[in-house]
Amino acid sequence: MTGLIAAYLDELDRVLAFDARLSRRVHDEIESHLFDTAEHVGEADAVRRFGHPAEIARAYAEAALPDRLRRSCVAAALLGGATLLLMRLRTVALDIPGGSDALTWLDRGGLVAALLCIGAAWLFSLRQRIALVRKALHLAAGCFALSVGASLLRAFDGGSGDGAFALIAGTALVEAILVGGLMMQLARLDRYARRLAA
Amino acid sequence: MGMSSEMLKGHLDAVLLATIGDAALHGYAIIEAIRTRSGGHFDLPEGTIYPALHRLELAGLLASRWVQPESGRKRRVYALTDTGRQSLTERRAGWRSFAGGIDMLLDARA
Repeated sequence: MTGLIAAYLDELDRVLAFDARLSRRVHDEIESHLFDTAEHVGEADAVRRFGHPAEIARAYAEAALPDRLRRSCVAAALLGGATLLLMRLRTVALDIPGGSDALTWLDRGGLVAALLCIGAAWLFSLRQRIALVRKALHLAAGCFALSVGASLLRAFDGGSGDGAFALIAGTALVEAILVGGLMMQLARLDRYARRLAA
Repeated sequence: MGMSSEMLKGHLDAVLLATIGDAALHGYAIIEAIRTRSGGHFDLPEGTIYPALHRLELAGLLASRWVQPESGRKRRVYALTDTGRQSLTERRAGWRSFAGGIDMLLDARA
């Protein structure tokens, strides 16, 4: 053993750091392959024949990109559906009056804008326009945050009945977790984009 | 990498699906099978195969699992899914139609 394979795998881990799960999977599989090859041609040739780690990482990023885009869009769509349900739950349970004030406009307008952005992101993902998907989903996340914030203010302002605070706080917590989940998906998508641009 | 390998790149997915066929093979065995069955014509850069296998798995055409033999290294083996078998059938038909058309063009006399 010359340590060439270990050094190669370390470099592969480094360039695949944009996706920890993918990196673990690739490491074990490529390690097995390289040792199989090295038994016939030696470590140096095994590593040379496999290719440059940066090119391998880029190929993996390209291979996984459609699935990554789809997951991000699905996460955003789930967030949209959950937010809609939670807002409706607050409105009905707390008997929040409708109206045409700025908060109501932000609440509803933000949600509609977020859903439109998700639709646009989905269409862009079908064409693998990663930059446009990222922009649309970031915009959707911002619209969600605006809408959820306005909805919570409306609930605190106009909500009534027993347990109002617990309901508002509970639904806000769920929404915060969902928005956090979407932001994590977007952060991973950003790392993919950087790897593909490298 | 010669011209044959360059030409093969556009058909890599079909080649991988056909090579795996009804078996369950790990990456190294797939690469060796492509090399052997093509009589050494197709000697692809090995690093290109694994991302392609991963892409086909994400597309639902392949399924993979780890296998640990009693003696030897742990390996990830790939097998066709039902969707993968269907896709292979379609790709075979598409290739035969395409190759037949090219043959007619190349063999045509002016």
